[in-house]
Amino acid sequence: MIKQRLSWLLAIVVVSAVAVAALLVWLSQTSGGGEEEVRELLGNVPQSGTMLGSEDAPVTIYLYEDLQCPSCARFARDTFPELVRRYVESGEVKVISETLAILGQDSVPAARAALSAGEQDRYWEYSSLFFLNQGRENSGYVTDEFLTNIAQKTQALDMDQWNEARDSDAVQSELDSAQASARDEGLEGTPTLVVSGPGGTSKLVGAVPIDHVSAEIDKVRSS
Amino acid sequence: MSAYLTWVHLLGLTPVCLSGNGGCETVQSSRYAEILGVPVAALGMGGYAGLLLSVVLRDEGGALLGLFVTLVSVIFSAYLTYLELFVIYAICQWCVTSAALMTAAFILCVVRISQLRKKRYW
Repeated sequence: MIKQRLSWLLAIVVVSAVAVAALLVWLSQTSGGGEEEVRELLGNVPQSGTMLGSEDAPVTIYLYEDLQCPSCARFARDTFPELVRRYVESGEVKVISETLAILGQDSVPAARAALSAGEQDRYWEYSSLFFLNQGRENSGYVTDEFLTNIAQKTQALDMDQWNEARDSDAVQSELDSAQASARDEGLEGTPTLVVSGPGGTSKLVGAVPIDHVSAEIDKVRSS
Repeated sequence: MSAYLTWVHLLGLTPVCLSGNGGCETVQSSRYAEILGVPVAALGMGGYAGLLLSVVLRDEGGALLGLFVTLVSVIFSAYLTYLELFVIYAICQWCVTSAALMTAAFILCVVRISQLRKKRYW
């Protein structure tokens, strides 16, 4: 009797453990993909190409970033949402991405894919989702399948138009322009934020916290 | 270890990574580092707390609790290792160490239950 009861307990424990582990795996797969949080963050913010926010915003942040860069991903995860909520939504700041492809071979298709989404004013959704799903630098994870998967998760992105734009001269021209701008700025690393306003220009390098960005915005906002 | 990774995750810091190739940061920054907003490292802390409790509790209760916690951890760690190798393409040494520790703990829990079965009337 005791033997049977304890064997049953053992069986229940094993089955429960497998069920709990399966639940954790399912939650890991279905939550945190980022689509909902990206939609919530960017849904009501105007976009045009790689510009996020109102064109009339007095302060402009030029964000030099490479989609393969882990620090850029950290900035996108930890600081960028707060920047959007505090300053971009209210029309005080607009952010312009200067998309670079400097970290290696995988950066080029990644940048092209994001800029192609920008042709439909969906750059920021695409790049945010990319950062949330970023793999290890130059490990070969940036496959066509990976890029297409991100595109499919990007709300309101026409896939045919996106595919066509990836090899276009317009996208190459944007990439070249961003590289040239980075050279002119004397870029030291990514992400680099060039914060520009009536009161002047300042630069931040790295995945800086929102307080640092706020301080620079305050410095440049008034003439 | 889990406490350190939880702290790093919550403060948005870069974890120390022995290999220096940024694998730890890539894994800890990935979408798989959280479940419903809870850092996976925090779940790990809960697992280790459960394991500690199982050591304190005597007889079948402690043995079964230990088996439950380590079995969940081993299965979930196997899934996380799969993600590192085939999805994220980056290895976090902290995660690998934790997986190895939990696997060892699982083996010891199985041994503990076997010994209890021999002692009692299983």
